[in-house]
Amino acid sequence: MLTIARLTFKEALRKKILVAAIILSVLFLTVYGVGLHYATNAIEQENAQSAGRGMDDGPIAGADMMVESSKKLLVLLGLYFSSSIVSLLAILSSVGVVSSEIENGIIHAMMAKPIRRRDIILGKFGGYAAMLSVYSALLFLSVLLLNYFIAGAALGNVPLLIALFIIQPLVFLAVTLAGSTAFSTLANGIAAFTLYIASAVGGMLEQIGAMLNNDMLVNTGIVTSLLMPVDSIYRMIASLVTNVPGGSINAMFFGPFGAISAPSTAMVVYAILYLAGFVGLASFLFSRRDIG
Amino acid sequence: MVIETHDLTKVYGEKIGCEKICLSVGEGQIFGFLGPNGAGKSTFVKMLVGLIKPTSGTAKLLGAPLGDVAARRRLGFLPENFRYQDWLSGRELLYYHAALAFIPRHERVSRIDEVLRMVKLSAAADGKIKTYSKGMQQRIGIAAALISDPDLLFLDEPTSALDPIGRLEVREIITSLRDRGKAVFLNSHLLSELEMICDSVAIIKGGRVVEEGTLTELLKGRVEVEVTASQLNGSMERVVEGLGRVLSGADTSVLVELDNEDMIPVLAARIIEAGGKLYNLSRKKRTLEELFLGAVKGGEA
Ligand SMILES: Nc1ncnc2c1ncn2[C@@H]1O[C@H](COP(=O)(O)OP(=O)(O)O)[C@@H](O)[C@H]1O
Ligand SMILES: [Mg+2]
Repeated sequence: MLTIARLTFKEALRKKILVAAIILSVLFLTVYGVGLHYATNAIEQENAQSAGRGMDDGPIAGADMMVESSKKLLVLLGLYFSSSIVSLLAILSSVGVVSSEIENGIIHAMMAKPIRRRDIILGKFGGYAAMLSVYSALLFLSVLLLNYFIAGAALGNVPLLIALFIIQPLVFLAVTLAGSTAFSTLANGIAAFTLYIASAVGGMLEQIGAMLNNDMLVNTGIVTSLLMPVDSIYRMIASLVTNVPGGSINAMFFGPFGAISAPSTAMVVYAILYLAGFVGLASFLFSRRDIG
Repeated sequence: MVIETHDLTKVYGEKIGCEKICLSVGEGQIFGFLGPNGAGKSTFVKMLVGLIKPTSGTAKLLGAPLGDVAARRRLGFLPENFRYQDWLSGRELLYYHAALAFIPRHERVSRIDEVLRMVKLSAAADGKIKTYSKGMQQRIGIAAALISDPDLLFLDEPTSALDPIGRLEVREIITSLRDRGKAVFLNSHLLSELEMICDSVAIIKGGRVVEEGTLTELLKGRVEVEVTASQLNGSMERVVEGLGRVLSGADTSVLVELDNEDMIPVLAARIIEAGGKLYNLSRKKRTLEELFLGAVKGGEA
């Protein structure tokens, strides 16, 4: 299994989509860094002006709050876009992980080796998971560091944030892997991408629903987050980084990027079980199917 | 027995892959599985090595039931449409296969050199597989199949991409394996190949085995005669009825298979009776090719 994981990791590093993701990430980080710089300047100026007007204690506290919130919003934007990049990378890189090897015959010679099919799946998962974990950790860490150095945002508990962040692409990887044992590469790509969109839209609806106090929207969001828990993980991270004392007004400020109601820790457990479930499903489906 | 199958059947939806195949292959044998394209050869091998699951029937490989992972340590397989991670070098690919076959780390390098020498790829071993010719890719596939020094080797059309010299070299590899007591199961539509090296053959057609036995058994057995006769009243099929069957040919010149040699004078008498003029009646030594064509065409008439 480790042998397969190692080769799959090398394979994953050779994917063109990874090059595309790296280029995209570098562009994103550049634009984001520049944006952070100007936004921070603007926020500080605004702050200095309101302080200069010599207002009394209350409003100054309000202005501080505004500055803090604006900085958090910038962190959230970074979180949002980097989550999208790694989720799409997970889907697009692993979309044909099993199916394309069946289609082109690479997997045939492997089937007669003294390895269980389950180990092939675990190896494939491990290889891609390693690539995605390293990539996601580096990307998110870059976002956090940019915020720390340019915007001076205070950051707590970085290892936890990064661990949660990595769960997102891994969940997509598990689902796409399961799909690629059952469907053709093309069909799986379409299915996984649809799921990604549904998850993102569902999460936004839930936030908007919470803002409007609309139960219908909130429930839709809850259902989609059970069907695809990645968005809950995102909200979890969002609520950890925005964790501003002061209640719902602040949470509202972040709109669909934030987390009005923080998901419970149970959601993280659910996401991990969900991930494991799909890896299990992948090996079940793969063990049963005919190859070639 | 290294292979024993009983009524092994694979049905793809409506289509029959192969049907009720009962074969046994002994240790140290080269077994040829012969049939036209689409006959079900690959289907049979894929069931045995574990790519596809039989619809019904049972089989044992090296004494273990199908799907036994441990038994696969003693198995080698060259798939028909072989394709490998072509961004690896030949040596890297073999290293990967050696690891998958659980060859102890310290033995891998020497084992890889050994199989590279067997398939005559030592010089090209460090080139990327994508730069290899088709024939070299086939050799590296054979090398990957041989890496664990298997007791039973499945080769699905192993010489399809090779030139005559390459074919000769593969034949030499196969016979050297037999000399070391290994069994080789060879799928091929190339009769001459099998004829040169196989101990036993089975001929498959439309998913069913139509002939089976050791080469010597099959090639003696029935008698074939070439007949040239003209002005027959009625067809040659008529004349031959009850004695054997017409294998090939038309009009005046045909190849006839007779059930035994006592039928030769009877056939001559029948031809005369039917008013024919007999120009030639000669007994032929059967080759595998004729056996094959006879078996394959047999049911179609
Ligand atoms: N995956 C499949 N799905 C449907 N039919 C198949 C499949 N694989 C093979 N067949 C059919 O099974 C028959 C036997 O094929 P195959 O075993 O590849 O023949 P051979 O190797 O002797 O050329 C053919 O009629 C082929 O069309
Ligand atoms: Mg075939």
